[in-house]
Amino acid sequence: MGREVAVSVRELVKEYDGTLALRGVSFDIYKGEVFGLLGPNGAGKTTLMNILAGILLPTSGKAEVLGHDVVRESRAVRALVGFCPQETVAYEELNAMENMMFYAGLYGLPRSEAKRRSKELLEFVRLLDVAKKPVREFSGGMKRRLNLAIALINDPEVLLLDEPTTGLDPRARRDAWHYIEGLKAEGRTILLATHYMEEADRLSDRVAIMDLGRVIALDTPEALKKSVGELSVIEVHVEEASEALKEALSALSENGKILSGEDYVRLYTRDPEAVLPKAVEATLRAGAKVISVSVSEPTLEDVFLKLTGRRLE
Amino acid sequence: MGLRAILAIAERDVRSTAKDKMALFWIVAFPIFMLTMSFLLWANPMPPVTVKVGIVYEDTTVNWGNLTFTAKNITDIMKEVYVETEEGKVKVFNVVEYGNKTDEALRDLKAGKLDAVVVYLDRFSVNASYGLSAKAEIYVRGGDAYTEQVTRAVLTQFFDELSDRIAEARIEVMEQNFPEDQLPPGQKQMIVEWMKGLAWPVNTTIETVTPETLMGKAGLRGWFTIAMTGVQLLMSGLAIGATMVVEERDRKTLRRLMAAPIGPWDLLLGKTLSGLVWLGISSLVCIGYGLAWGARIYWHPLENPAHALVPVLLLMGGLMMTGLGLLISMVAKTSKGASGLATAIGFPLMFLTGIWMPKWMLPRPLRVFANCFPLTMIVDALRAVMVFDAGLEAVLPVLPWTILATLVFYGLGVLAYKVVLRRSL
Ligand SMILES: Nc1ncnc2c1ncn2[C@@H]1O[C@H](COP(=O)(O)OP(=O)(O)OP(=O)(O)O)[C@@H](O)[C@H]1O
Ligand SMILES: [Mg+2]
Repeated sequence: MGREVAVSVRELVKEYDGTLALRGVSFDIYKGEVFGLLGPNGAGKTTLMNILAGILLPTSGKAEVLGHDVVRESRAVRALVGFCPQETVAYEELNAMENMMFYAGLYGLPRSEAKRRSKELLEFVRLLDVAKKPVREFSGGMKRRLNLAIALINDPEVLLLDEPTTGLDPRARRDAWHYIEGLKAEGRTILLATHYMEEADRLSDRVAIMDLGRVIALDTPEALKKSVGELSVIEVHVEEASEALKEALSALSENGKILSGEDYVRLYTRDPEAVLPKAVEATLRAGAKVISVSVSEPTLEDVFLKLTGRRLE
Repeated sequence: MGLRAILAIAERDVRSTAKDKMALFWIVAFPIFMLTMSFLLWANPMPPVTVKVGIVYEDTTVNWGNLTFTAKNITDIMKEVYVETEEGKVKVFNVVEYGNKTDEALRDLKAGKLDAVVVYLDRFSVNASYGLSAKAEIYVRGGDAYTEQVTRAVLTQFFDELSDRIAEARIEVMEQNFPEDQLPPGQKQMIVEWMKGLAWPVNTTIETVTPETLMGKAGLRGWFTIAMTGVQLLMSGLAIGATMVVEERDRKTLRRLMAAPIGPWDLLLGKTLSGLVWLGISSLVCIGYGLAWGARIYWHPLENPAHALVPVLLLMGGLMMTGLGLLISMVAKTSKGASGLATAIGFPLMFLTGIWMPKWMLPRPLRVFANCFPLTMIVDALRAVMVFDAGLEAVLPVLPWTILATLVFYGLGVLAYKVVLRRSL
């Protein structure tokens, strides 16, 4: 692909006294793409983000943002990047407008421009009506939206979004996705860290799956899902998934691997038509109340399971 | 360094503090509370002492009708002696007459009902009237050294003065009745002078000079007002330095701040600036409140150039303590811990450095420490200039040492800041 590289990461290693948070990570992010970073807790997503934001020094390796080295030209990098961390970065006792004006000042925006841009961004994240309310009174979703508006104050070409929807209810999450899609449409390059496979799948052009400080797979969501193989997924939705049920269904699954939650079991097969009735029968025999049984395509979660043998969340 | 970023950080910090009830308590309510208490409890000059004195006349001549000057006359004078104070006239003697019952008077003295007893011995009045030596005995209650000393002094002073007046009157009478024509010219004057020498072999005059500015309430209140300003520099300055980095780290905003294109200096200077703004406000609160209570505070920088240096002194005090606070932040894990530690260190210093407690109340080794503690020097200079209206001579000598101390304290603070910042990211 002859596309322009916005962010390049080479053999990045980060060690916090004793713990290896990154064990040699390499990838390129192209201009204008949404690059998903999918991984469970402790995978090293935040560490990677902080290095790219220019606030954390890597132990070894190299990273560049828009051609600037994140260590040697840290200030240039920070001026170009919009950083939206996991935590609320607004000062709770101040109102949304005061927070925007403060961050605008940090980026050296003159007052009048700061005011104009703050208004514009608060409008964009639909917080203009409550701009004079102390942030303390905001809901979780509103705080996240303010975080996003703050990250955009310097009109950054590259956006680093660290778990922008963690802890939000499904509606607020969909809302956030809508903003991210809007930002992509404006041509910004976005690095999106998440541990929601659905989020990575839906928003990303490409996804890097991370685990224990390594990138274990990197491709478009479609290609990744295809890598699970020619397998189909049968999802049995029950009132309560008992151990007996999991055992029975695991016997029907390819390699014996299943993915299960409180009220569902996913099993994998090359021959869904033959296995589906058997699965229903096994479920009934295990004494579980069936809510639904369906055949579906693999998800990124299935990819992670196949690669690590563990669940994502 | 970016001026916009520094100002943004300072402005944000000032706004946040304005909304922090705890911070406002320390900046505004605490000094008002402390000043009110000290104005009510301590900042009052000692009231003049009234001596309770019993009078006994063993003098059998006291009621002779034709005498010019009797012991009774003295008692009447005693009853009319006053001292002037800001609150008005106060009686010096509280006189109780015992007739000729010496035993009774002495019993009361022993029982603590009187401070002193004056016994006019026999023929006092007639001797006094005819130019002879009139004798009296004075008993002073012992036990409490302070009261004893005061009582002695007051009575001695009274009778000395009385004696002087009597001597003066006698010499005058003699002068008028002098048989001038029987002596060579000029002889009379010589004899009069010689008699004066007899009456007053040593002629001293004592005048009490109270330092004008310490006289009474206003001066004492001024003293405490500046003391409180010093306490604010100490306590709030330490807290500002101690929480500077840790607070942002606790709030999870520190990384986000440093993800903007700013450097460590911008954060340090912005935060220091905001701290100085609040220290300035707190100083104004102290001084304004003191003035409202009638404290004596001078401020006329155009006439007294030392007054123009007052803001400089306050600034140095603030920077010094902020630097010390930054050093404290090295050992603090959280912002609560940091401000607790700042209070724990500042509180004893408030007493031990002679900023809040007068230095003369301190034991000697501590006084040595207080004398070279740079903030104490600053507070003393402020007091000299603002309460006693001293000139540059009160400020210039302490400038080299205090400037040096400011540079060293704040400089060490900067080093500590860099360490804490690196650890916190
Ligand atoms: N400041 C630190 N000191 C020591 N270890 C750290 C520090 N920050 C992170 N780690 C460790 O580094 C590893 C990666 O952490 P990181 O926060 O980057 O993961 P993450 O993918 O962002 O996780 P999450 O989904 O929970 O946010 C973890 O094992 C974590 O415990
Ligand atoms: Mg994280």
